Amino acid sequence: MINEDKLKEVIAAVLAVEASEVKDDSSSDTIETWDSFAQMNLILALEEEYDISVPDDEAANLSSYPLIRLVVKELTGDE
Amino acid sequence: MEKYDQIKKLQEENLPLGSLMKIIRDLESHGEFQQSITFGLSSNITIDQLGIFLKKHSMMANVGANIIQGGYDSHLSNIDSFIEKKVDNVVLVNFFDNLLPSFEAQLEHINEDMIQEQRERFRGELGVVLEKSKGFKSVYISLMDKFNKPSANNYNQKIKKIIASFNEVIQDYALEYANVRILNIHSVIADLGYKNSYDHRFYYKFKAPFKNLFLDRLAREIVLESRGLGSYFYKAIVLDCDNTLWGGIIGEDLIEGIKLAPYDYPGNVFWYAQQEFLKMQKNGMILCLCSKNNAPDVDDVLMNHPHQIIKDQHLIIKKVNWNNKAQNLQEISQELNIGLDSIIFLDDSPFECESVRSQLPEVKVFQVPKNPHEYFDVIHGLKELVLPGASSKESANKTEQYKKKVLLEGEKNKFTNQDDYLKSLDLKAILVKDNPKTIQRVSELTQKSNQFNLTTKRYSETDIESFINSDTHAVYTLNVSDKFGDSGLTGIAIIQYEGDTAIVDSFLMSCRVIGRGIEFGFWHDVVNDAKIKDCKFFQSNYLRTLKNEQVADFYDRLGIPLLREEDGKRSYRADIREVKLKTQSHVEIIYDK
Repeated sequence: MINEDKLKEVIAAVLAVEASEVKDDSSSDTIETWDSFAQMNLILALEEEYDISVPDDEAANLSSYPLIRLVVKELTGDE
Repeated sequence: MEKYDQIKKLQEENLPLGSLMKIIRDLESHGEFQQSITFGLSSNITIDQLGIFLKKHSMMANVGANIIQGGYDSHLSNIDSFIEKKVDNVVLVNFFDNLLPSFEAQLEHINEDMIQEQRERFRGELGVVLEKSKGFKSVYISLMDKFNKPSANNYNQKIKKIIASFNEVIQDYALEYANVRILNIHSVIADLGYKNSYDHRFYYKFKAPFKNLFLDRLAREIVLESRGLGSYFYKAIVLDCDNTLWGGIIGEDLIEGIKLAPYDYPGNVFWYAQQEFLKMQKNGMILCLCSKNNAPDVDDVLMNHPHQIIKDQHLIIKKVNWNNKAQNLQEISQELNIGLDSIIFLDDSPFECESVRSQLPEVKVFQVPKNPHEYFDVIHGLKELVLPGASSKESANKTEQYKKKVLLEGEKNKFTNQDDYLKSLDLKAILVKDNPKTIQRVSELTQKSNQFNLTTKRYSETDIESFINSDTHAVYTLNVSDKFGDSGLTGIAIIQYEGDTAIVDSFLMSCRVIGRGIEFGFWHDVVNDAKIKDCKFFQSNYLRTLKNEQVADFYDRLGIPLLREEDGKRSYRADIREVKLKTQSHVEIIYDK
């Protein structure tokens, strides 16, 4: 299992919000700071944190918290 | 975590981006800095990340940094907004391959004249930018490098030569404007390697070609170049003797036994170190000695050792005695009348280093490593602190050459004011109303344009189609071109007619073309059309978003009176017969009815 608190902390740090603000319904539509620059940082931060490499087609999917969780799980082989 | 611990953590190598951003955020909300400085960043690529790393390195120098990100690929209007926002320093990053789309790939088949034209365009625009930038403390401008993978064949040599000719333009200006500092990215890339510097993935997706590792280093160079943003200014280096100026201990090994010969290891390391110290002295640093020895022994080496480089005449003060080193350093500071914080102390003994650190924390202490070959890195670190701009100074002998060149070229391609420059561009904008062929592009631009967008309303193709076909709306598009080429459909105004009022529902332009007066030029025709439709009033709005601050006062500048302002909305209204809109002469507007 991935540690969701840790995942939320990484996302929160990049988006400059509190970890408690990252919830299941969080996405680029609900968090104002989630723009394309933040998107790029998110990819980099997740890759560093989990030692993964996000493929291009997955990168486009990282636009909400549940999708990020899914992609990170998939890439870390942690189902 | 305390501020001190957080700043210390910033120095860690390979600190993950998430942690870095968190520490910076914490420090910004709690940490207090001696001073704060504002950077304006302007680039023809995405370099937002540089802002993060500039904050990091500024904070490490105990300086808080504010970052103003300029709009993408619009130096001219960015500089205007930097002036308005009173930024201290500007960082200009030009990326060669993006001067035109995949410019490097184009170089092979476009002709020499075309390249020459591009270079002159670059020269013209940069000249105006730097002329306007005279009031900033410093303007850091990066040289440009090759983006395509390095290889040893001739074709690459050709690209290199062309890029070098663009870099010469930058270097010429650096000689002309005192506040311009060159960032030599070649040396950063050489040190990090190509793979650690460039990111193809984000270049094509986000126009962000540089890896964070590179931007981190670039930010570090900027802070070093400015002597920690003015937080330090070292004036004197105080050197120990044994195992610092030479290998071995003079009191035990005697003059014949110390290691200082340029031909043997480890003597060659110390001989090299002395060469570097001498270079620092020639560049204005004060050299002093502070050594626990018998003074005559040290004097003997200074005078009589065949390979000794640093001689008596290079040394201002010699404290060769058995006193506490902290006390000696204090005396040096008083005798030279400089602050302890302007002194660098170099010693091989961990005990002496620690004792100075704890008694005189203001003094910058470097310890000579046990392994002589590691001395190289220490000297390099020292040089970075005392010789900012070392890279540009090393090419100081080129100065004369450049001066000559500037004289030869005369004023041929130089524009000292923006109007002359803009006039020389032969700007044309073709204004078209309700053209069904533009539906797709218009919808696309309303969807993605953020910065120069007055109301940020997003429209689908169906929306646009219905506007075009209806009497209550008009969709104007602008196709912009200049003598260098065509920028395509880059401006949109959607007008809604409501009773006797023409309302600007949307107005947006691509950032690539703003700052050239086009945004003002075409309104005359739009207003005329409204008059023909019997409108009595002309009305417009600005709706604030996170990204469109730069156009907050656009309608004020256009000349429409402000009616009211509330909650990020500014409404403007004018009597259509009386309104006097801003005019400009250097853009030819062709209204293609």
